[in-house]
Amino acid sequence: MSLLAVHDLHARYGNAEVLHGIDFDVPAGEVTVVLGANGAGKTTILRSICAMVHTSGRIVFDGRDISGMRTDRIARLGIAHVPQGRGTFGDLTVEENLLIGGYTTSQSATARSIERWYEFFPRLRERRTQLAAGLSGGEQQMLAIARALVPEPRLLLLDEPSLGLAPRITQEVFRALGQINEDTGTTILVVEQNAHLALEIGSSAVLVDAGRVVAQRPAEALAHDDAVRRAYLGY
Amino acid sequence: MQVFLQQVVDGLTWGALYAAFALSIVLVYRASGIVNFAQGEMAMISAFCAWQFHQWGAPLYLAIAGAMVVAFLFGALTERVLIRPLASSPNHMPLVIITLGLMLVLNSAAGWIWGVQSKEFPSIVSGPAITLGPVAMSRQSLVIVGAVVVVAALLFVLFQRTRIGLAMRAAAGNPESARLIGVPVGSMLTIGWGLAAAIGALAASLAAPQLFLQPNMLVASLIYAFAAAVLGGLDSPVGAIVGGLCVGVAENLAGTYISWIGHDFKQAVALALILGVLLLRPEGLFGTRKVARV
Amino acid sequence: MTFLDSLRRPRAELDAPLWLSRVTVVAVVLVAVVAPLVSAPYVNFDRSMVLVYIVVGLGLNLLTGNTGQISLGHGFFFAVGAYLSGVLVENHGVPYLLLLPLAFVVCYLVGYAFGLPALRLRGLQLALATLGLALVTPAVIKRFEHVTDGHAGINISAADAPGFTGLERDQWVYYLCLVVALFAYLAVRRLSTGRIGRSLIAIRDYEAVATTLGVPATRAKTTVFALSAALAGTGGVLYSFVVQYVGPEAFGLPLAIAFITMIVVGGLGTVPGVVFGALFVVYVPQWTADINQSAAGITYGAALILFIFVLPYGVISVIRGLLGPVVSRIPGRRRDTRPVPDGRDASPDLVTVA
Repeated sequence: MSLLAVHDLHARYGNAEVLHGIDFDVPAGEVTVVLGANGAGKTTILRSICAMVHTSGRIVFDGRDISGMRTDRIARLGIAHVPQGRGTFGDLTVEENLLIGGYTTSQSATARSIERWYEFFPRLRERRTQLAAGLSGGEQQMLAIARALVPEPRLLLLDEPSLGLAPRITQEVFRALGQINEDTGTTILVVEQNAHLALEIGSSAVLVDAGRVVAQRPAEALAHDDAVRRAYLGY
Repeated sequence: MQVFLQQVVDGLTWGALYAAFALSIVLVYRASGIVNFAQGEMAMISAFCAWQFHQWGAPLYLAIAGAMVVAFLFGALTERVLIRPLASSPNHMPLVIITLGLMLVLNSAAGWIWGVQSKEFPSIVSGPAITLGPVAMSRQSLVIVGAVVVVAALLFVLFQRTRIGLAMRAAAGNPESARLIGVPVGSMLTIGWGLAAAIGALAASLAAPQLFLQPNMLVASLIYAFAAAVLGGLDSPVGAIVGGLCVGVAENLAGTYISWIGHDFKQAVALALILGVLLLRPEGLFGTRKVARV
Repeated sequence: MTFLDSLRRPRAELDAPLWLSRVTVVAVVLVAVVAPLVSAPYVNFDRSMVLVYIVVGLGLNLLTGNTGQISLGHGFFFAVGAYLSGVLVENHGVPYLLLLPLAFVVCYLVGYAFGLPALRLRGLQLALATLGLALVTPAVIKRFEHVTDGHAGINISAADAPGFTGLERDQWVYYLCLVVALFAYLAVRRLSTGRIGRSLIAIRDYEAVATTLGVPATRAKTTVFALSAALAGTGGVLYSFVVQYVGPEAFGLPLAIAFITMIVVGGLGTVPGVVFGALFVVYVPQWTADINQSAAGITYGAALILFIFVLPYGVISVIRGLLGPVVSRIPGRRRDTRPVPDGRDASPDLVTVA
């Protein structure tokens, strides 16, 4: 059962078309990984889902066509997006970042949810009154993920969570993501350059090249398909 | 010594006024990243509205409250209609020019509707001046200072303790991320502009008795308000207040004690202050460094 | 593309064949020279004011069009020129023609001095700082009232036409303005197409890169600022001859806004735009004065807002848009004189019609 289905998605920045008819779907409750080289259009896919770029085509979320909707409306439907570079609110504290994450839910639900995520990421609790801008890259990534999960979204989008992070931290982040998917059943769609790590937690993989979907396979199968791997992922 | 203290107290009254206008400027800057050059004229025309409501029979309190509501709506409308359409471009110059045009339109409109002759604006309190030890303050001045303190406190509570205030801060700090978590960023900006206009309306209405109500009422104060906002830091509400008080006191002291400055030339001091701060420490006293990267 | 979008596009210069451009220029010059001889003094007064604004506008255009920075403070330099004229000519008997080069040099130096610190500011900050300058100009004038006569102002009675010309004073002053405006036009054009002009475009478009290529950005920008100040000062001198009076209140914020309106309405960065802008700024108050004293301000302000919204490239963009298809069909051009279809008027050419 797919939670998100994308049909013939075209996207452009100004006059330059970046996505030339993307089709793929995201099965509910699983981790789907989007892979491809730099500039293939992976980030644009996520941005298109959240209406941050000009698009045409159909995007169906949980049976609902969200193609024409505004970004904040889409967020209210239960899609959370951790953008590239984290997107934390630098001049708000850790606690305030989490609080505003729960903007679309009630105050009590937010409070409960924040408590849960402090359990999961104890380092955030330690730093709750610090300004987000003062956190390390890894901590900011934790914060961004926690913030995105505070409103208990149905779908979590992550854009290159490994960017700018040391390998060890990246592993921690991916381990956390895998755990979150197991514990809460939140559907995750993650765009990632580091194919190796991503394929470890993913159950299905979408391969993108030059603005088109080249393949959608079970992650395990892709990890073992040497020809495809070498051609598109370079290893 | 007594003269000095009196000058300081007088300076604080003016400073409270500049602080209020500086607060408006800061609210708009945080929301939209521009300085609204029309802020003073928006406040002036709101004071005229208050006067008009009072002429039509409303008690003064109500007239001023009414003017604040009108100002809120006008500020919100301005953001929605004039500013929002062009806000997506990184170049802020068109917006600046729009605010200049608005400044001119409002100034001329006030002259057209109400004429350019000065009008009397009633004080909200009457009675003799109050003496506190060696200094005296008019009752209206006390009201002005009190009002600014209350406004500042309310804003603090709004931004630091309420969800919508938090949303406004988030929208101002990182609009894209704010949208991604469901904050209607546009509406937050609109509210910011509305609030800024309402604060200006209150300040202008309280200052009108002393300045006399006429279209150019706030033109002279404009440069002090800008100096206050710049000194405090264009994105810092705390800075606006501190900056306002500093500029008010400094202006008054300079005018009194430095004879070669005199009354008119004080404005040049404000200009020098603006230039100095922008060149040496663009973020002002309390602003954040990103203000420096225009 | 919606209609609004098409209005907002920058337009290429009109692709007129050489003979048409030349004929138009000659015709315009002829009219400009002959007209005052057959017009009433108050008409020549207005035309002279248009020329004064053109001189200032050429300078502002150089600054804003080429460096993208807005200065709201050029009223100050204008005032310096005007008061130099008033004080030296009226109170000290200096020959009035000398004031033109003198004000140019003085304002160049003052402009350079102001520009050095000021140009370290950008965009909004520079606008704020120069707005401050505009706001304090009347105060500065009044402060130095032992020189400037403060509130009273100075009446100027010089600049009478020399006997041998047989001209009336208003005609003589007009020709003076015309000559200065033409000089200014030529100088600005030469500058824009020369090395400094190309540096400026590089700076406007991508300053960081330009500096690495060895363009002395600071010096170029300050020079341009100083030149625009010098032109404003020269305009001020001419203003003093036309209006025959200088007083502090004439040089404050309203004047600064008039200058900005001129270049916004005409078309930022285009030279013919300056002419249209000057016409707008001089004649609108006249027409609206019949309605109401405040109508001029409302019209200026509304024009500023409207133009930025609907026609950010000014009246010129409309004219180019309308005439473009017509003019490009007129025969008689050589193959290789087709201009590059770039919207921004990067190199104003004397031969270009519009």
